[in-house]
Amino acid sequence: MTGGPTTLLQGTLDLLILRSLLGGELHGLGVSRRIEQMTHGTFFVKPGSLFPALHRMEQEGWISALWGDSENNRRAKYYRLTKAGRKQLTAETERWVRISWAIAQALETP
Amino acid sequence: MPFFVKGRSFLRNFFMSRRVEADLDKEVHSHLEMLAEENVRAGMPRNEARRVAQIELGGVAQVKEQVREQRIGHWLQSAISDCRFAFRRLRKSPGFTVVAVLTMALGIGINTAMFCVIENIVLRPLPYHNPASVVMLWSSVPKKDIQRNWTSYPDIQDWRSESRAFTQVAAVFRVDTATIVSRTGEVEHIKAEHVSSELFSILGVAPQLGRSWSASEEDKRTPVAVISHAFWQTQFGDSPDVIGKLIEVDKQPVVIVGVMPAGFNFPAADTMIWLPVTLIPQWQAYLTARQADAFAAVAQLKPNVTPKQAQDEMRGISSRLKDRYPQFEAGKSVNVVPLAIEFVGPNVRASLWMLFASVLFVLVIACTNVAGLILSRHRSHEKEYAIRLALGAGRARLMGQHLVENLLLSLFAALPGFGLAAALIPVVRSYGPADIRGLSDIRLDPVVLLFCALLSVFTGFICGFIPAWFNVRRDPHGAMKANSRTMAGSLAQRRLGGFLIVLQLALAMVLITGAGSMARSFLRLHNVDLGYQPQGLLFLHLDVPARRGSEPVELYREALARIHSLPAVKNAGAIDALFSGYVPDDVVEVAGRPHLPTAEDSDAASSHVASDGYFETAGIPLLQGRSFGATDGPHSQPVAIINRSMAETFWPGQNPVGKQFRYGVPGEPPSAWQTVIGIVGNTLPNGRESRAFSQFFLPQSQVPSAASMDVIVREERGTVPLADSIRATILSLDPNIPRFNVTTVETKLEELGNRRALETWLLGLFSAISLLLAAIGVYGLISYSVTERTSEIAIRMALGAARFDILKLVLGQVLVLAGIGLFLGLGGALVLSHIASRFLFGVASTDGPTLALTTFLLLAVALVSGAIPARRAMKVEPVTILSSV
Repeated sequence: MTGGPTTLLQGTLDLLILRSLLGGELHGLGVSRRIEQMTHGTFFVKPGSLFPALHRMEQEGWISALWGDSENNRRAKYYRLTKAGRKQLTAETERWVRISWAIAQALETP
Repeated sequence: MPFFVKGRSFLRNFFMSRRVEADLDKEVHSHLEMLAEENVRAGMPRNEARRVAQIELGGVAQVKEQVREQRIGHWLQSAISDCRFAFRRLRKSPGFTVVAVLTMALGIGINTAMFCVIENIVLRPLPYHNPASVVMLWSSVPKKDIQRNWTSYPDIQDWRSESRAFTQVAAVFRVDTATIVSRTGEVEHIKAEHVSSELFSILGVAPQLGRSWSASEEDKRTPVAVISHAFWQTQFGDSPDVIGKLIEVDKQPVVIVGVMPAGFNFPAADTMIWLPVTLIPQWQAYLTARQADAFAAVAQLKPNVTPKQAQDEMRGISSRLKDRYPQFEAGKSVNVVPLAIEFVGPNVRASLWMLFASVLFVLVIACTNVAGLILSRHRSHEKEYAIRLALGAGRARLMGQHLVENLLLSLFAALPGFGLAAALIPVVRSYGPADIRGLSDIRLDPVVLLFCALLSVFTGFICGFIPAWFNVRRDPHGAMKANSRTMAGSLAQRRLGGFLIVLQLALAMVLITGAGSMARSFLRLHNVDLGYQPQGLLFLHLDVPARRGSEPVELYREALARIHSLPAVKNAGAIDALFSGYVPDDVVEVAGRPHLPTAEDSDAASSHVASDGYFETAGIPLLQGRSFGATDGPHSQPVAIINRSMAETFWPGQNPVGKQFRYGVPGEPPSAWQTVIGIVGNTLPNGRESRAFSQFFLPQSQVPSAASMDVIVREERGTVPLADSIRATILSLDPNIPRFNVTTVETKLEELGNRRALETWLLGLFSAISLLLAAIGVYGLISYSVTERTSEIAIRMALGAARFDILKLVLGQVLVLAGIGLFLGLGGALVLSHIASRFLFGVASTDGPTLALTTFLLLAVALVSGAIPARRAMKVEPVTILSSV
């Protein structure tokens, strides 16, 4: 993918957020930067999409939130995967692999 | 456990919203700070770092709103906050709120009341087991357009044995009253139904106490009776040992075997007692005579048999009977009427639906008014909406807020609306026409309440939707940039205002035209000549029980003489039935002509018994010959007075005076020969809408058996009320005369034409309301338009327009809109005219004068309503307006 950051595909945001939290708890900006890093700058999550998604996932019970201190001693809200979140991540990953494989197959058809 | 987690989040969002909000605020701000720090670390100056961070975040408020929309229970919270907001806004403009609520309440109230009537009378099934399967069987004479005639008991037995469409057939007898001796020893008339045993099982209602009688019991010769719940209460004080008690009915002892439950109302709510017709001795002769037409039948259709199929079968049976008994059955057929239609006929149904349609019109006009109010109110809030749109409020959310506000308004209106309906129902109950069955028992029930609620929501939705839709479609840039000089109102909004005026006037036009034609036909009807003078004529129905040693005729003669001698009485007379309610059923044989016609022939006449002074008292002119006199005694030659119609039918081109005729029912020996002594003018025996038919009158002195008479008394003009002295006079002669009422003939006539009067008054009332609403509506919308165009008007004046031109401008607009509205209304009235014509008497539904008058009236109302704002427009001072910007 050349050029600037691409808008997120529908349904991929949840997967990316869950995946970003696999390495440990992060605050909102951390999640955002981690996704950028993981996707080598392809995806850039705007706060207007990030926060609603985080709150929705918290309500679903996939992640839990806790206030803590940031690296610069600033109060920040940290998110962490729950057990349900890990299960969700596995399910979403499987789904995504299946879809991407299917799409790839489709595109390779002569 | 996702459900548990979601539930907890919902409760948290809902009950700890302040903490949730604070949390969100802190989170977004800390995010912003961290972004800024990142930028500082990247080497930006502090201020620039903050600015770039803000841009990346995209606005704290917007982000927070987006998060809120994701919350579980968000819709509930936003609905609640919308309600609070709407409530505050309505409270801030009490004038608007009160007017809108009252207008809607008026519409909702009369619609709910009207629906209550329809629901109770038309929609609710009859309180019987399977009411749809019950039909009434009447004899009919198609050639004479007689749909409901009585027939003989043998006929009904044949119907029963030959038909396959019915599971059971019960006979009901024509006589529907009985005299009883009450607990206090008084002789009373009550409604009594003489029926056969199948009736109770056809209707599927069992007595609450005791039993009904069985068919096998009808062979025994012990009269039994089932009494109504009301009769049980008044006469026996709810005592359970009423079963087996004896009661005197029509002078003979009857054993009470059952008490029907409350609410059993066949055929009427005031029917007090049901008697087996086969067991009443004085009517035994009726059970075998095929010429005695005194019965109808109630039957239960077999499952899957339609009334139509039953009708076809009965027609066949009737024609077979015709072959078997030509002398009795010629010309007759059978009419199968579903019980619901029998009780509430097509005319009453049509009349109720017509009134319901007209109150819906009123509701639409009321809605239009409120829509107009909302439109001009929104106009003044235009900038506010534009700002909110620009700040990122969703259009859907703004629309939602409008709707919430209007729904709130309509819910406020539902309460007084329902109150209005509740207040109207007792009025309908006591003043409604007596010929609508069950009208005196209507009540508000849950269905009506539900209707009221739904109607309110619907009203609020309609009132608010159109203006709301127009408003949120506006372009925020335009409204923001606009100031009072350029804000001339969007074309769409002006069109909407015009559309509302047109709609209101068109609907009002249709309604008022209808009411106008109705009023004209009512007036025309009132001027119909009855053939007698009903003004100042008192009326009482007397029933003198036969007693050994004294004939009723003696008592009547004495009573009439004493009443005549009362001060202030001009005249008094009596006839057996002033309002006969019958069709002519006596066949007449003219002396010298051998043929005694059958029921099929049209030359039947109706026999009456009259006292000496009857014609003079009623004001019926004697056209020829003489009236009854003292010489016409029981032993002198039998005489008769005939009416003009009879003279023309039976002695065309001859002088009937001195001629002889005799009469009778087919199959029975005819009467003695009667000599015609006089001819009187025709009268309309069943009220102003009936037709005159052949009648002859026999002197009371020669027909001594007539026990029940209608007494009429002509009073002197403007005298003291006579009713009490008449009553006292009669009771002084015989205290045992059953209770009677003294009313006036005009009251009786009103009862006959009561439904028409009600239709006319109600339509008139609805029209007046619609006219008032339309006037207010036109005033409001034109005022709004003038306010909109104030700066335009000022510019026109500054450019040299005269004040008169401004008046022309505004009134021209009114005229154009009114013209379109009235044109459409006229079209609507013409389209609906074939429906209207069935309610009219002697007036075309497209009655020219009514249409012209209505057009003129509405045009005048529109111009006057428009003239007030037009005057204001004329007074616009261009300098003030143009410099105030």
